[in-house]
Amino acid sequence: MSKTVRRIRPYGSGDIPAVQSWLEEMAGKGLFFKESGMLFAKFEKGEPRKMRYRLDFCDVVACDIPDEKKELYEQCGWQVVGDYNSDLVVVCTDDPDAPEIYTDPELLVKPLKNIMYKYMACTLAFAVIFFIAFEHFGGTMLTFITARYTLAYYVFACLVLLLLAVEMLFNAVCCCRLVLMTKRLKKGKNIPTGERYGFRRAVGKVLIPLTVPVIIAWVVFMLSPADLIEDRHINDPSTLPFPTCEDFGWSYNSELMFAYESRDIFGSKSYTLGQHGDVFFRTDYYEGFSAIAKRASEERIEQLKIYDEQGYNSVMQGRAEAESQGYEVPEEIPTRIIYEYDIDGAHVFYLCSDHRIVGFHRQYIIVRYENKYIEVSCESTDMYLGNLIPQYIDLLKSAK
Amino acid sequence: MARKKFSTLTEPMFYLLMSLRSGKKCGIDISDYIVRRSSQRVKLGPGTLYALLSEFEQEGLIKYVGVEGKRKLYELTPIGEKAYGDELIRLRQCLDDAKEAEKDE
Repeated sequence: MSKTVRRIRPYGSGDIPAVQSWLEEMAGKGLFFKESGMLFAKFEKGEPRKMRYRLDFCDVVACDIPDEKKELYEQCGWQVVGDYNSDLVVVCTDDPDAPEIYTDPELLVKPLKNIMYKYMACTLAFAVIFFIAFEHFGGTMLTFITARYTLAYYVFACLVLLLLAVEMLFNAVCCCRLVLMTKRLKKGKNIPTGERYGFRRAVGKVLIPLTVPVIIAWVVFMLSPADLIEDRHINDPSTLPFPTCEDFGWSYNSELMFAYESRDIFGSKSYTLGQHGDVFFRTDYYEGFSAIAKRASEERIEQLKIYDEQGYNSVMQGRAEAESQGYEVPEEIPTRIIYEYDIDGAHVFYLCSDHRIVGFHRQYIIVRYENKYIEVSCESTDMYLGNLIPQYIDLLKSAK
Repeated sequence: MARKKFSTLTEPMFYLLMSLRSGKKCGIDISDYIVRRSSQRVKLGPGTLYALLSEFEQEGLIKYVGVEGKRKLYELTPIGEKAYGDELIRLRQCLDDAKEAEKDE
């Protein structure tokens, strides 16, 4: 029968009173601490007896203390046992008359602060990776109406974010605990002994072993594609809930058409249709959450305004340079029509970028109504798409 | 105003400097001296003793002078002598004031 047993280490190195109390409790059950790694503590079996355990974190280098100090400990009745998570050295005694290893609490403040800084760094690290993960997931989710996730990805993402938040909180609490202990020591009070920390032990037994797996899960999450698409290709565009280019009298090349539908676990759905032929005609449709429809449409409108502004400025700059170099430039200049308004609860945006002198002429309509929004863009036609706006408003209002 | 470090000494600090006045010593000898001199009234935990030696060495009150086997030897510096002397004067002043106060009562 093995003389050693392993137990999950339930406390961090900063929780000194809890660790000391736990080791004493284990000795009372006949399990005597030998050493500890990141996850497990090793105990040797023996006859239960009353022991005092203390943690030394002064002059500890590479999980060890100077030989002379060890000798002094032994002279005072203490025995050096092993290290605790590579931060602290454990000493113990069964002599009730042995003096406490630290009789002047104020001297513990400085080395304790070093441990506190370590927990601060861990808290900050978890905070940073949490916000990176949140941005990776949340930023994509709200930006594109066509962002689509599988159920597995949603669950995985939420789990990773939750665990990161919990680890961050756990380290922050350890840090706060050390701050309070430092204040206690500065007042001349000793580190508490003999208390029980049942709840902390239960929490630590779960969270401490999860630390490394959570970080690995975060790495996997960051490396996984942000839009694991669950699309269904559509071969017959007449099944789409909005008009196609044929409905407006344009023909298209069916081999160049792309159309797909996607749905998420919350019941949102989106459609995309692109048709090439007489014109290039594209429609994106989203139906789901009002907040997402609103934000996605607003971001898209801003994006189009910027692109159009940049395109216009680029063309005008080119004209100016050509003129300055003596080249003949067309009399026509790029034109734009842009307007945005609200009507009957719907929000409408129209943009016409007419840069035909450089071969570009495209119109955009964006209509949003409640939890739906549709974007239509068409290139290479003189037909004014603004006339279609009322039709799209009615479409969104009637869609169920 | 914050107390300047080591401008007043705690009892363990005072006895530690006292132990080095009679010559260089290692940690264990310092601990033995303090227990003996104070008739076991002042007990310095091993952790506290080493922390104090480290602080005193950093502040220049003592200096490391060599080893005896595995044991580091320390001796008092002039700064340490002065700190001890100042503390002794302060304690004597306290004692004199206490005696005067008793007479007045």
